[in-house]
Amino acid sequence: MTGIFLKSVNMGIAAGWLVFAVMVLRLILRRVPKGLMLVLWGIVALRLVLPVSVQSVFSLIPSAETISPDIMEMQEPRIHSGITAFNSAVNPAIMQAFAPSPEESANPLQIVIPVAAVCWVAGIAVMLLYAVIRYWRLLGRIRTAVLVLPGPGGTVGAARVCAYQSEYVDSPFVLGFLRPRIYLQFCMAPEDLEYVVAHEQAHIRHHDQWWKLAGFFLLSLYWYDPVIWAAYFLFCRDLELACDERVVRDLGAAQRADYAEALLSCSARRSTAAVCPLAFGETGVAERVRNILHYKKPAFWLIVLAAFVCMAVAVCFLTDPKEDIEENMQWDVRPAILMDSSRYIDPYMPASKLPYGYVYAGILDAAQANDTGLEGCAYYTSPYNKDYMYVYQECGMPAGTHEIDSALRQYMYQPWLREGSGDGRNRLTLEEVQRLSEFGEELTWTDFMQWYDHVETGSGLYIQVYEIDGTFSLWIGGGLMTDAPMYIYLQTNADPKDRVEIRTQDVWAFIGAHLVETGNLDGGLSAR
Amino acid sequence: METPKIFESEYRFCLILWEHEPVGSGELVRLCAEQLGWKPTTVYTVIRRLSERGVLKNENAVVTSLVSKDEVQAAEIDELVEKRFEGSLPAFVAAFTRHSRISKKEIDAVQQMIDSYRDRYSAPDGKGGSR
Repeated sequence: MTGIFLKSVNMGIAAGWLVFAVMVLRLILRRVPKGLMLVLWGIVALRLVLPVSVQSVFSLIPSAETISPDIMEMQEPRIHSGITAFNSAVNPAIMQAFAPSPEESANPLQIVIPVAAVCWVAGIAVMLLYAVIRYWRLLGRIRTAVLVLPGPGGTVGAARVCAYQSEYVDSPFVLGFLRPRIYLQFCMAPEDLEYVVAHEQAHIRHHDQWWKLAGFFLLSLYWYDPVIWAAYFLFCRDLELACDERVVRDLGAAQRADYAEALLSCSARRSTAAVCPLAFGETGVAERVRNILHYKKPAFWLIVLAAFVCMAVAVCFLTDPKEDIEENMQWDVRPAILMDSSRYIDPYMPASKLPYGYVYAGILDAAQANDTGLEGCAYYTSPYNKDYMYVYQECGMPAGTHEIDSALRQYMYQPWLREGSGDGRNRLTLEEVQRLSEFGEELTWTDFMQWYDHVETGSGLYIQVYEIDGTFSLWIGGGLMTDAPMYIYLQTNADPKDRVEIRTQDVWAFIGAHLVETGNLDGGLSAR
Repeated sequence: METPKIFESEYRFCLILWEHEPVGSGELVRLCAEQLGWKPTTVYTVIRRLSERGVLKNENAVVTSLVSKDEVQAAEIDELVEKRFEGSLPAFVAAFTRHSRISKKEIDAVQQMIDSYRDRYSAPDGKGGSR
């Protein structure tokens, strides 16, 4: 049921854009036959009921799926409205509210959405029940309505529909579906009665009672959506306007004025705003009168224009956008963590152990996580290297010294590089040495020379020197590059004999001892 | 006795009743179906409602009215004058003549009614003649 609920929310949001478009067209195309508006509302209805839709580049719907069906399982719940500015404004709040806390893996949406789905179904039931009760109550009240057309002794022709009068009627309406009848109030002038009946008969000829029923049914399904309510009321109004046009089409100018007057006199006494959802109430009398008096037979080019508008709307709004457009919009900005007014970018090669000197510094908040989805993750900094920070996060598994298997996910320490910290990518860093030392005997020449700047110093033997910083450098030496290196030393620049073989000895302790010694590290920092 | 309240559609039913009474309820059902478009159940419901209010009585399937058309019309006018014109008949007539077009013939007929009323009730104590 939650799946259907989320599907309906997404369909409602997509249809909302179409409703806005129809509202705008409704304002622009006043002169166009009102039948066009009914076709447009029909397109809205199609959008509201069709669960699948073809993709096209012409689609003007920003996003076919604003809320992913997987949102309940997401570590960082987020929506895809298709409008980047809206996403970045709303998503942090959604994540803050609904991201699962590390201790309890359940995403709060797993409770919120099923509850909302139950409310949704209950709301539909209330809407339908309300309509049925109103309908039966009205039927009961107008049971005593008195036949007015055809008059006593007259017969009901095939096209003519019986009209009744009742004291319970405030303004004329049609009731019934298979055998619709017209209901009028008492005390109508005979000439008014003629026009009003003509109007209601035009409704019945076009089976408007069924269209309105379909509209109300859709409203019941989308009862929580104010846009759909607005669409329903405008649809009811356009139904009346279109019906007026059908009646007025064959009338002369004087008769039109009479028709407008009849309309006015019938609606003036309207007492309650609550209109039975399945009967024809009077809506927007002023607009209707204006429309009747200004009606002109539509020119041919207007009808062509109307047909063109319908096709354009159908193509632009019945289709969904291409998926890949959505993906590009999501990642047009490189993910970055914001920390101390610096941007840390581009995660690569995660490590199973933290490098020396990095200590727990806190939990990333929403502003720092900056849409990377890492809010709530622990991060680690070092007092003597501001170029890197580490985040303990879910990431791919290292499959080699410089390869990641993205299919295997687990939590590891992920380095983030400060943007603008020079060519840190190419210069070997202490952090990298510590990480690489974990590979032990597996390390080869290429693990270093492909990735980091170095100089060749060997004569006879191959010797490569990798400068790290003022204190340390790394030396690799051996006979053949195809063999394992004879040695890989991390050594101090001050004393070349002060060194450690990174494949077999403890790099971590070596660095720690020298950093304390050179005063790069404040004395309070102890081992992990 | 206060004349019972009768709704507009019930009044249409009463018009048939007054014309044909005393009338069998079966005959009334036929007349109502023809002239009002009512179902038999609706006719019986209305007969029951009106007999509860004392407008008619239904004995041995024969329906007879307990109030006359004149009484109902008079009660309706009284109620209207009382409710909308603070009980003032001249105010009611003034509003009526202001709003509706009345033909010369209708004015004469009304004048005649007023004159005959004056002759009947006002002449003995001499109040009426002054105007």
